Amino acid sequence: MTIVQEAFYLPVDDGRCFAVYRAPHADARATMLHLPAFGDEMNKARAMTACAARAFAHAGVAVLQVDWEGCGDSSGEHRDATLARWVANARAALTWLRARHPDVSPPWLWALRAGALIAAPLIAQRSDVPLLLWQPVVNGKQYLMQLLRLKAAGAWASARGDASSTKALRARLASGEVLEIGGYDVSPALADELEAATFALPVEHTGPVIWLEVSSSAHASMSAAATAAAHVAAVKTKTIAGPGFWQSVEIERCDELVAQSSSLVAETLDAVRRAGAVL
Amino acid sequence: MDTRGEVLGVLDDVLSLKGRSASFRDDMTLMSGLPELDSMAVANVLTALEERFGFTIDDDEIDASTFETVGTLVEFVRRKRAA
Repeated sequence: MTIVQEAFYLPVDDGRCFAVYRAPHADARATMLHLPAFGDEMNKARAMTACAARAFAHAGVAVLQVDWEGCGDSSGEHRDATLARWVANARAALTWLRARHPDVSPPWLWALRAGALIAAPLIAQRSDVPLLLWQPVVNGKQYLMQLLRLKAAGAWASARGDASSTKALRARLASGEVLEIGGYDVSPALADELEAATFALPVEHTGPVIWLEVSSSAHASMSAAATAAAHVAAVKTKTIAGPGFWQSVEIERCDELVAQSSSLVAETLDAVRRAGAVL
Repeated sequence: MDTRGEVLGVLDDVLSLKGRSASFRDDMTLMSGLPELDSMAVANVLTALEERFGFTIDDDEIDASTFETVGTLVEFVRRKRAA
């Protein structure tokens, strides 16, 4: 199957977001919006998500990838970014996908890492949204502390418990200071939003959920969060052997994750079509 | 979940040990014995442990003794899981 690729700017409230659309030449079986990781993790994962988007398009899925405001080639500065704005950007992207494919609905949400925190408010409104989760961040507070810890880590060896502890960094944010973390400015507003954000599957969620985690050891078990989610809803969980491409020092790819995702999404679409034929 | 096995798995993942952790004994020194374990790697190990086990680690819960040996790190995780 040949695919089409388009790059364009998606108009949003008071700016524009750089977007890449990849779709099969023939009619799409489904549509999908990617919810990228944040900051450096998004950067590290770009090659991997582009590769996956092409694979999904070859499998018949129309995929839209968008840089939120303040990221990549989109308008705005990272220091002005807020979760609320990024969720609004995602809504604009979903509207674009629905307009392009009015008879295919609802779009899949494909979240990587902290992208799951953007998915949370979207699935709260629609319980039938199909989800593809890659190593999702489920606890925004913990994630913020991990970002601060990375900033603090450099100073650990020399002076422990000094002004660069995560607590001290959090206090600086609380006092209104913008902190640069790994090359990305994080505002007090974004930190507050992250701290309050969580991802959990609502009990009433009816859409299919594919939850994939990556580990270099093939026999690793799923995280506690994935195991808990599988008790609540019909969730397909799987551990894929491969590198943690969103955090590796060198740019890495996990081809097995792409292959497994493509086949699991195709399987899910087949099952939905069969169920529809029976009704 | 086998805590010891999981902790070794996390070390293997984060430090790219390619299976070397399978031969680690409890008395093996980490901070001085594993050149891969710099401060950034310590931060990444803590993050990976949090996500795998679903607990939160505060700065003041860890010090040099936590990462002294394989045994002390496994014991730290056991206590966190029991808490």
